[in-house]
Amino acid sequence: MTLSSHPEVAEALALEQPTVEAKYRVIFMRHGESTYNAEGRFIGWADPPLSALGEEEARGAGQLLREYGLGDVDEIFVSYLKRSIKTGWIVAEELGRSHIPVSSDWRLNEQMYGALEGLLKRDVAREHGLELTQKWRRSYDIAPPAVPGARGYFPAGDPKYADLTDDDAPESWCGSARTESLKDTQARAWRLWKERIAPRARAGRTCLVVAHGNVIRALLKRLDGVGAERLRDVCIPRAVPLVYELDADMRPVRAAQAMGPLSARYLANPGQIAARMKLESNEAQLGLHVPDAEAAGGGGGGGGGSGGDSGIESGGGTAAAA
Amino acid sequence: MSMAAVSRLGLRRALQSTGRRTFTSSKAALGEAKHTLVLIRHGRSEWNDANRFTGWYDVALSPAGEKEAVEAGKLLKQGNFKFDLAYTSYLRRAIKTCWHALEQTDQMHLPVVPAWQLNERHYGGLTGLDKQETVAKHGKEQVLVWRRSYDIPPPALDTSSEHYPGNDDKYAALPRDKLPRTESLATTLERVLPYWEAEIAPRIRAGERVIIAAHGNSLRALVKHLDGIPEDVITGLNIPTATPLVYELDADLKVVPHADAIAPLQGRYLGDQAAVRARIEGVANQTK
Repeated sequence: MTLSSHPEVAEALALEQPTVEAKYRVIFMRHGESTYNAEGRFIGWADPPLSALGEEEARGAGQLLREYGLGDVDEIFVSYLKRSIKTGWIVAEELGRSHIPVSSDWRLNEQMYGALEGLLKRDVAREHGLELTQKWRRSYDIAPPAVPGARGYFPAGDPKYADLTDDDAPESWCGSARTESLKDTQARAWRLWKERIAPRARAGRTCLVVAHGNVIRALLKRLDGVGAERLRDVCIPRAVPLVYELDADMRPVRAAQAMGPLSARYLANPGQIAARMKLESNEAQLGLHVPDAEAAGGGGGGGGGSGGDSGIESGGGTAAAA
Repeated sequence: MSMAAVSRLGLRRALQSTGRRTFTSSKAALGEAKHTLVLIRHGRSEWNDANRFTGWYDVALSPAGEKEAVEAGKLLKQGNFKFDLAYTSYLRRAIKTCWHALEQTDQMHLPVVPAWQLNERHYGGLTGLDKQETVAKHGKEQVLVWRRSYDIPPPALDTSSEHYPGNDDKYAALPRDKLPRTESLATTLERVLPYWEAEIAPRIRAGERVIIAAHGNSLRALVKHLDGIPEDVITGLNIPTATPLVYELDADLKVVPHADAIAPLQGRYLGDQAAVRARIEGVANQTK
C-alpha cells in the first residue's frame, strides 16, 4: 500500500483539490450507422441515410439518455447531413421531446473527404497504402485529395449550400476543391460553437450535439484541450452519448468515469464502449492488419493509427478495459 | 393636339399592343400567383383510430398515419415542391408528419419552427373520451354542438387535470393566461391568426417558401381566413389527414383560386382527386 492510497492521506489530498462546480451540460453524440458506414465507405459531405441498424442505434441513444436520467435535453444541434438530422429527430422522439428546437448548421458537417468520399476504405488503403490513408484519416493539417474537376469549397449544384460561397469557407482552407483538413473543420465548427451552442449552454439549456466523428474530435480538441498527437487516439463510438459538465467558464469538469484524454463520460459501461470501438478498429474499417508498433495509446483492438471519417480508433477505447 | 398628348396616346397604344392590360383595362386586375404555401394535416393518430377526442393530448401517429405521412411527402416530391421553412405545432403527430415531408422531399436540413399556437383545438373535459361513448352519454345533439359549433367550447378542465397544459412541461415557458382549459374553433382562431400574421405571413412576403404541418382545427382557422369561409360553413369543413393542400398567394397574400379546388377551399389537394373526395367524406363519418 502506497502512502497516497492510505485512506486518511487520500482524504487530505482530496480536500486540497479546489472543488470545481459543474454548471452547464453539453452532450455530444455521433450519428447512428449510415448505409456508407455499413459498406465501409469514406463519407465526409456525402449524404447517405441511416441504415436500419443506425435508426435502432439512435433509439438506443435516446434510451440511454433516459436511463441515465439525462433525458431533459432542451436543444439539439445537428449538421446539414441526413444521418445527423435523422439521429437527432429519433433521439428527440425517444425522449418525448419532439417539440424542442433542432437546429441544423453546415458547420457541424463531418470533415470533408474530397475525392475519397464514397470510396471503399479498404480499396483506398490497398491503392494508396496504409501510411498515406492514415495520414488522410488521422492527421490534423493534411487534407484528403481534392475532388478532380471541381472548384471551390462548397459542392456546386447542391441546393443545401446554394447561399454559401468560398467567403464562408474556413479561413485556414487551402483552396483545394471540396476537401479540408481537420484543422479547417475545427475552424468552422468552433465558430458555430461560439456563436450558437455555447450561448445556449450558458443560458442553462442542456444541449445535445448530434454530429460526426471527426467534427466532434475537432471540437473536443479545443473544448477539452486535447493535443494533436493525443487526438489521433480519440475515438468517438457511434450513437453513445458523451456527457460534458462545464464550469462557469465553460471548461470541462473531469468526470469520475472519464476515459483517456477526454474529460467527459460515456453513457455506457466500458464493455459496451469497447464493443462499439472495436467496430471502428483499423481491421474492421480498412480490412488491414496494422502492426502493433503503430499502436499509440492502449493495447488490444486493432492497434495503431486512427480512423478517418468515423474518428474511431483502436487503442483508445479499450483503455477502458485496463 | 399637343405633342405631349400625342405621345401619351402613343404610349397607351403601345401598352395596349403589348397586352399590358393593367394600365388600360377597367377590370380589377386578378393577382398574379407569387407565393406557394403548403398546408398539411397530420397523419392518423392512434387516437383517431380509437375515435377519441384528442386536442392537446400528445398522441403519436399510428402505423397507418406514418405511412400516410410518408405518402404525402412523396406527393410533394413528385410535385417538385421546395421549401425554405417549416412550421408545425408542439404535438408529435404534426411534427412527425412535418419530418416525413422534409425527409421525402430531401430537405431535412430546413429550419423547423414548432409553435404551440398551431396546436389542435383543446377539447377541454372531452379530451381522451371516446366519441361514441360521449354520444351515448350526452346525446348526439350535444356532442355535435361541442364538435361543430363555432364558438361553444366543451366543458372546461380543472387545473388539476392531467390534460391541463399547465401540468405539461412542454408549456412551462408559456404565460399562464395563454394556457387553455378548453377551446372552441373561435378561440382556436384567436391564437392561430395572430401567429400567422406576426410570424408566418411576413416570411412568405419576404419570399420564403413555407410548409405548415398542423391539425384539423388549426388549419380550419387558417383556411377560414385565407378563403373567407363563413362561420357556419367552416364548422362543417373536413380536412383529410396527410393530404397536402396547396395555396397560391398573390403579392398581397390573397389566395389565387385554383381550378382544381374543392369548395369552399380555393387551394387544391395533391393526389388522386377521387380518393381525396372520399377521404373528405370519411372524416364526416366519425360521429355518425
